[in-house]
Amino acid sequence: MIDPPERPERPFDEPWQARAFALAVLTVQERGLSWEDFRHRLKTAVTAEPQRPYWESWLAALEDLTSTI
Amino acid sequence: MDDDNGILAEQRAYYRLRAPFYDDWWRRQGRYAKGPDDVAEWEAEVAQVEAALDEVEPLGRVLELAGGTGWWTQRLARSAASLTVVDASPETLALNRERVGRDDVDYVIADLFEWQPDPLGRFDLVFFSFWLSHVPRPRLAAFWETVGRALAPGGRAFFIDNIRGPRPGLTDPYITSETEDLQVRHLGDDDSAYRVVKVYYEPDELAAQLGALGWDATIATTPVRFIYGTAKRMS
Repeated sequence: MIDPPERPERPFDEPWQARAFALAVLTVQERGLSWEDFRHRLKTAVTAEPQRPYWESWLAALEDLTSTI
Repeated sequence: MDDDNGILAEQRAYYRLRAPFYDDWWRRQGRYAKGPDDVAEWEAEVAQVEAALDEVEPLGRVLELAGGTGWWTQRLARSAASLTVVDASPETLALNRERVGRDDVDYVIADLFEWQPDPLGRFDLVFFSFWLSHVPRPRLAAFWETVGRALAPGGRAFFIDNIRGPRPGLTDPYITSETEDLQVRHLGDDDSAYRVVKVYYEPDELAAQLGALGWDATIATTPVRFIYGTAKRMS
């Protein structure tokens, strides 16, 4: 799997989740990073708060990505 | 490919999982980075196809099938009076929507082997890029019937796809095996494998097949990478 196994089968329950997905991908592209970079941050976010909903961890990873570059 | 439903399910899964880095292929980055000469050649050939699309004048009501991450959608959106984009992957359409940034583009998540246009015959142009090669040969006629039903009288189809080309080394580095019209691909970080339909057409062959299906097609290729063309139903 490309994303962590916690990723739900149905990808987006809410429009903001689709937007968060796209923003992460496009941010990685625009900054010349690899998708692995984001995946690592996502895994860290999921591990830090395992009970947190998946897409909220995604937002945390995206925030981490944008705040440290 | 007598029973291709399993293959097509793997194909859909592959492209959904590939969505986060699909654009590496188009941008010649990551595993597709092959240096400045490759980029220059790529851009020249894309420019050739773009010029052909400009000649078609994608105005009016436009339908894009398998719209993917939006590289062509953003171009179509500039000139189309209305634009509908269909794709089986929620992930790629999320990227497409963000990239294009237009509230007036209509996005439809649907399996193109099941989807039918509604209402019938309202589009002036049906566009699909890098999709025809993923349609199994036994489904070619049904696919073009769908295209025909989507088109208004006098409407046209415009398509772009890969050719096998003169340099076999251009193939995707993550193709692990290939037989006629079928590839096995992986995504790089585990042992998962996905069967993907990949039919490489030659222009004459495709024009003849479309002719037999009632389409008048004009088809060309770029020097190395792409096949493209227009098709209109014979009157």
